Amino acid sequence: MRLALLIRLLEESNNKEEKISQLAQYFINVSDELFFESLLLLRGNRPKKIISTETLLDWTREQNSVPQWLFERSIEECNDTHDAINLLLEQHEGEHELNFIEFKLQLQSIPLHLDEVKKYVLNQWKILKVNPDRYFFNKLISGSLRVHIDDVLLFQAMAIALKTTKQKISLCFSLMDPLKFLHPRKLLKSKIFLEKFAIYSIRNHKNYVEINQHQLQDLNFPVFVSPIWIGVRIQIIKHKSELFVWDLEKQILIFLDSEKQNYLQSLEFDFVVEATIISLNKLLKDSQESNQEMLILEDLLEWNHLEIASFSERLKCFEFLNLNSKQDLNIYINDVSEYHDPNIIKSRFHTLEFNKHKGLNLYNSIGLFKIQAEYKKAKLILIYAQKLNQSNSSYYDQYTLACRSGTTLVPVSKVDSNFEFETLLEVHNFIVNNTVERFGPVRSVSPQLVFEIQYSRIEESKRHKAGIVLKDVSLLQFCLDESIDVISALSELKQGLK
Amino acid sequence: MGLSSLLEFTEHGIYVPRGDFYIDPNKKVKHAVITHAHSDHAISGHQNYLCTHLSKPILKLRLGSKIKIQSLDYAESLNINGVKVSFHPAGHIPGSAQVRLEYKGNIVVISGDYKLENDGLADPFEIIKCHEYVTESTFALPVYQWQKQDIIYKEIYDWWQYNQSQKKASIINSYPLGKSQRLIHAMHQYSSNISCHSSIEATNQSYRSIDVPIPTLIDIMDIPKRDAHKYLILTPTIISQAYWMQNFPGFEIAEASGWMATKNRRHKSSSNRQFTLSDHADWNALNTTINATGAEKVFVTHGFCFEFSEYLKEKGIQAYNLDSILKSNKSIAD
Repeated sequence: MRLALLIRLLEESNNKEEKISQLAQYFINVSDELFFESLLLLRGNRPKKIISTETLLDWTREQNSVPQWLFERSIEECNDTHDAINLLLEQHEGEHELNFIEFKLQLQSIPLHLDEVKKYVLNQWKILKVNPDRYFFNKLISGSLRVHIDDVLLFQAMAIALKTTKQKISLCFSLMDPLKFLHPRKLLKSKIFLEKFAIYSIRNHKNYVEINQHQLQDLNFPVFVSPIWIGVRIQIIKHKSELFVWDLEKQILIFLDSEKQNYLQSLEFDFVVEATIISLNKLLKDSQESNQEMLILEDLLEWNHLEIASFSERLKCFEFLNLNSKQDLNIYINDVSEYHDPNIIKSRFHTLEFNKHKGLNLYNSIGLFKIQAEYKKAKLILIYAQKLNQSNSSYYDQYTLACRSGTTLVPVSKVDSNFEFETLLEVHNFIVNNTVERFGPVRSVSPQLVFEIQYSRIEESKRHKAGIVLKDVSLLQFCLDESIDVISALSELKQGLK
Repeated sequence: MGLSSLLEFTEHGIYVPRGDFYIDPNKKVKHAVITHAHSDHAISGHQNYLCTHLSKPILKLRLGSKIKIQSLDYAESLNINGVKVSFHPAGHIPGSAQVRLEYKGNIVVISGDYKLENDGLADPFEIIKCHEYVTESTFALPVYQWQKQDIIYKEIYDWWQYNQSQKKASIINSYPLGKSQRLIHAMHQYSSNISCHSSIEATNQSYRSIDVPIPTLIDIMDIPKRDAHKYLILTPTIISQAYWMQNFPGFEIAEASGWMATKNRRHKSSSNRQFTLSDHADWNALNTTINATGAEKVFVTHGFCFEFSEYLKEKGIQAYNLDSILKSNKSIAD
């Protein structure tokens, strides 16, 4: 596949999986040189603008004999100037495919004189394939190509193409600049990369055994207890003067704000820390410092390249770092307390703010445990349904559920189906047979089907009419025999809001 | 005399008072001359139908076998109350026709829908010299210029091959009458692994009965699950989420239509891939046809009537926006 076609597919597709597949396919077949140039382009690095879109329009008008009013009407019909330019130009049978490398070289040699540029552009219009090469050319030369692919997506596609992991690709990218854009394929195999990867790859995440409140008394005491925060789980690897921060969920490298980054880099010791980044915006709604993030350091996996088995020893090392004094940078060590009584842990668990915390981590001489927020149940009614994957899903599998608010229904959650196929089909048939109205892909359904759901917590939400939203919702069952009267009231749900 | 020497534009559509018949009327009438069997040209409920031999079985299939229908061959003429009526190929779909009317040396042609490119299935469009020409204008804007059909067929084939390599079936949404048969005919040159939905197959059978060369296809329900990715499957536009698709381990859906020329429309499409393939004349073909007919008066209907009629007027042709006339006549009648 050529770059022009890839760009067109990326521009016109809303399907993430399809984008990844097309990108991977492209990377597999492309030459090393083009691989690089494409990467730059896909990450938002556009070639310099040579000519304005208005000038391209003027030249198109000159090539086209239609009156001005019809020309404008045509642009209006397209709702996209570059698309209109391409369609208004002659639909010849140009055979020439746009070579992006050649194009970039040509741009360097184009004299800035307008007549020369015009001559070059008109010639390209004649020889290039109408679709998508000529369209792509016009976008490039006028600096209008706005294609920026999310790194997660790009790394995933590259991982497929290069038969490696997203983590390696992410690290590869961070090293590409200093290594002057050595091709990722070569870089991945190079000694320097392998050494770096050994240092900077994500350390194995420690497994926490999930227990419930009743199992607390079976633990060996004393137990160290710390809250599990809701946020982006990260691993910070400090080695000499370098600092690498991994997003543990997305498996990509991310960056802390520069102050935190500089401070941690300046520390004299090497370490590997697990932490959570919490948006202050979320915690302090009216904060002036809404752009800042809070960093909660939770566990020390390595200290000067040594693993420390005992949690109490790890705590001591943490304290040695004296990071708690860095509250002006919003860096905190997680609050850890030592308990000897399961009932006190229980009461600590019950006083947690579940819009900030998921539960508690427990450490003792035996191992690592966690106790998470228990799911609450509610009954809600189906009001809207759509297909989760618009193009490829054959069944309605995403549901908007509502609760009662006086005499009306207000949506409080959007849930993806986790049902078995037979149940999914049953719900799908219900939706098809009880559709009241269609809004594009969304069906408004007659409020008859009650779902029993479970959720971990409730949060305030300005986006939802109800003012709240249920989090971590999953469907338990649907109740065909239950009426609308059984569904939860908004006031009842709001009681769960702390 | 009104706007036309032979035609009247009424709330029922185009009327020929001398012969007492309508052409593609949109309300029930006694005598209807039908250009082709698409539902915006042929509705049920007329007392008598006149069409081409090739359109006859399709009209019966779509409007019911009990309709009273008379058919003519291309270029065969019939005298109706002194008006000489004949059908001439329009190239739109198999059986589609332009209607030529002649009365006392005055010739009027009603194009119906037409395209100039020969798809190898429908009889190729024929230019008819006339005094007055009623033209369609579905794609009468300069942005609608089609690429040659072979280029589009190749694009479709490449997409089909790519899906095959990804172990995905290739599904194309297309009109069951006309576009589907054109695609079957064209894509069969590449591979015979083509299947279609039963509603398309019904039309195929009607065409086969009058020797239109539509290849025999495998039934959609007989496609082996393990080989589903090898197949190109045609479905009507309305069926894109059918139960049988669940048998396929994976599939990609494409759409083939002239409207897919603009990025704007492609973006709104729910399919994964769009191909610009139309059974209508594009901007250049419309202009070529108008010039070639030598018509002194042109009536523009079905589509960008205002834009095309104004453009023709600027070129010095006596042109009328027929949709606007029909609408105003309808409001007067109301």
